[in-house]
Amino acid sequence: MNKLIPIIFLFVFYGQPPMQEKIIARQGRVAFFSYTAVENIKAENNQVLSIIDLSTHEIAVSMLMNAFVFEKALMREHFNESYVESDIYPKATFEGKIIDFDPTIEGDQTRMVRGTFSMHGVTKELEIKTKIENLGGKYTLSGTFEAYVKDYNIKIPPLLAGNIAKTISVDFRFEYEPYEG
Amino acid sequence: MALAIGPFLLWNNYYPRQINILEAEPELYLDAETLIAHVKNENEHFLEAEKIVEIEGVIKEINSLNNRITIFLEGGAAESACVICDMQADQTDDLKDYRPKDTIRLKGVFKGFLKDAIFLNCVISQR
Repeated sequence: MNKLIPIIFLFVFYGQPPMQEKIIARQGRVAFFSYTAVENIKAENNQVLSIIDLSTHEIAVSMLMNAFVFEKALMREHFNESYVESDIYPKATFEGKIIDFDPTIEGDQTRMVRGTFSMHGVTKELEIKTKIENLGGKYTLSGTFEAYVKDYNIKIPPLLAGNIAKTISVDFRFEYEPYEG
Repeated sequence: MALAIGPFLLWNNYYPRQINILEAEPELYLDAETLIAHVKNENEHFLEAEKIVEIEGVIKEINSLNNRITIFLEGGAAESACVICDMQADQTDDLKDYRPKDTIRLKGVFKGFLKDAIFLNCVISQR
């Protein structure tokens, strides 16, 4: 029995692989949906960047606003030129922290991500309920939240007001891999 | 008058108008390593967003995450930054013969830089 104790000690403290400090998602997916009686508009961006520091639980997200893909080319033009003005504000960013996150938990955990979201020159505090999956050290974050168009100083022309919802539903999914620096 | 113009404007505003990348003439010819070198030198503004660019590079990875074919081109030796090309759906068959380490020439719309250079609507260049 005494001979087993050092072996158990070694297994517990040295047997597990060292935790990667930072993980990265280069092909994060962010989609938004606008539902109105007149028409439904959806768009998705599949090249969203996110980095998580597993030691501090900090998360950063950055996306190019002109990389949203729409069903119709002119919806994209209006989105970029009139609404989010992507030539002036090319990126949207989120910086925050995953609250009560334990990276060592295998499987699913649901946590709040709290931070600041900046888009179209406006920065807002956000708190987003997020599902975190950890399958053998491969992390995936996903969730949905609502954003109010008026919060981000986005002006919709009266003629098109009926076509665009006041509240936009936003879906996200990030699959992370070790960050090589 | 307004009743007549309104539907026209709505139709005109939402009528689909797509760029045919296969037929489009690139505004710039670059190799992936040169592009990433510019980014590393914080010279991000040498290439404007929405330009159609032909880019040549060594394939680092091909994946189908989010049900889209994406090609990563190597940004240089010991360089983690890449060129990310989101391929048009009609390119799937033509990509079957390509593997990592192969050299490929792509044409796409430059969108900007995050950690990597991002291109959408990419096609294999027929030049």
